[in-house]
Amino acid sequence: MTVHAWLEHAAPYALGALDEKERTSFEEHLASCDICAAEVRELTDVAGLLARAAPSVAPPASLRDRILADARGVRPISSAPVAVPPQPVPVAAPPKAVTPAPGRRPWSSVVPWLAAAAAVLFAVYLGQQARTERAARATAEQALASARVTLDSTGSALARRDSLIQLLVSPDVQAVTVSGSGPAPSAKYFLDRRAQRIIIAASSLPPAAQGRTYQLWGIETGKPPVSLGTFNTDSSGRALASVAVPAGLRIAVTAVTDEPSGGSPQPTTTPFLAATWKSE
Amino acid sequence: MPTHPAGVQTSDSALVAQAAAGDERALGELYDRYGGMAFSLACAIVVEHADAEEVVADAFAQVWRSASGFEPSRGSVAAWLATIVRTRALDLVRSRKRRARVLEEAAVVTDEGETLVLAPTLESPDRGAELAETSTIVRKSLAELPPPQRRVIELAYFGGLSQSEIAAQLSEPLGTVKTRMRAGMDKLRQALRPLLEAGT
Repeated sequence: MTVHAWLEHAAPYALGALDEKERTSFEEHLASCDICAAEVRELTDVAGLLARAAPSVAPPASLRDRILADARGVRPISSAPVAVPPQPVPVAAPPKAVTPAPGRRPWSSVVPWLAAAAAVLFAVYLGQQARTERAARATAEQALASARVTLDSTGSALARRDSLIQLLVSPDVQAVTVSGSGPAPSAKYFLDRRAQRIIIAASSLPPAAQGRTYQLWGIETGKPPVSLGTFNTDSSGRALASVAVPAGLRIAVTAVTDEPSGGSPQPTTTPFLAATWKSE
Repeated sequence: MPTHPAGVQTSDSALVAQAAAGDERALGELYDRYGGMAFSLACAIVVEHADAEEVVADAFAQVWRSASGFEPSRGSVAAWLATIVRTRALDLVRSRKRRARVLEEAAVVTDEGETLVLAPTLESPDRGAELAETSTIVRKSLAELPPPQRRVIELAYFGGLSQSEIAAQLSEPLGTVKTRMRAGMDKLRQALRPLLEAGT
């Protein structure tokens, strides 16, 4: 499709009038097209002004008090307390949002294989203590590179595992477990600021509904969330994702939202599994 | 811009930033500025007033929780809030297995025999002449569109209908609906440019 043809989608997109399929493909295009993105931005403001055309109805006086009373019970995500682990905010409101299943599993029973893998890897790591860490990493990377060539089909799995290994054994890693006293889901995060990687291991999180995905966000204090990537859980409600942290992003909070497939530029649903990080 | 009693009026996006930092007064101020707009919008979409209250309360709760996610470069605070209210109102209507108010109520027919989706209105509950002025300009711009263009835009925005649903609703070819929607939005953009540039 030419850029010109895509532009025709901007007005109906801004009005929310594209069919599901058209919307999804246009959103994919939007991510890489500044022209369409600028058009959508302007027309979205036009659509936003349409709200002012609604016949005027004065809200009841009690509504303001109710909103402020509700707010007192909830803290905005960017000012989440430093205490770890924070309470996960329940996934609320959106019609396709996943309602977490009740009950929560302790971390150790959730991904025993990960714990086992970590133990093995740690032993390997200890065995390599004689070498410098840099040499050990170079060796691992070399091994990985050749493994990628010979095992093309499992290359990405190996790459994932490699980044897990490097992160789990890194002396710079910080770990935060997010599991409130309420119902599931829960997650364990590993953040290595130096290696600019973060791992999320989520559990008891039902797979996102069809056409939806989970999106991981990194938030720097006082700035809008930055997407770190999307992931989904398997039928057992688990996910393990290792993602790069954009250079220069000083993560203070990480959190997950439920988003349309392909992810969103900014969160569109209530964040949950929020973890706060101490600065370096 | 009118001067606030306390001095210079805080910008909308500064209020959102203060809300993101946990300042309840900023949330209250945002409500004072846009609560009327939010409630009117909700009432135009949901059928029951109690539902409209629910929608507005939920929308401001979302603003409070996710204020740090507001990105000024992606649009105005008013547009962001309107999007949240509209989405929640349409979700609520759908979850009740009903249709939006504009589709459930008989269309308004004017003395000139013109069919309107929205009833004409004069007064505004928004506080401040500035916001009332905005509403007046938007209503006037919408009223000046050729009625077929206005109708498809109103059915999409207030009725939550997709282009193909509008085509079915109006028994018009899909291509016609698409052309009208684009043409109408282009005209609105021209008419509302002063407001858009003022960042209202």
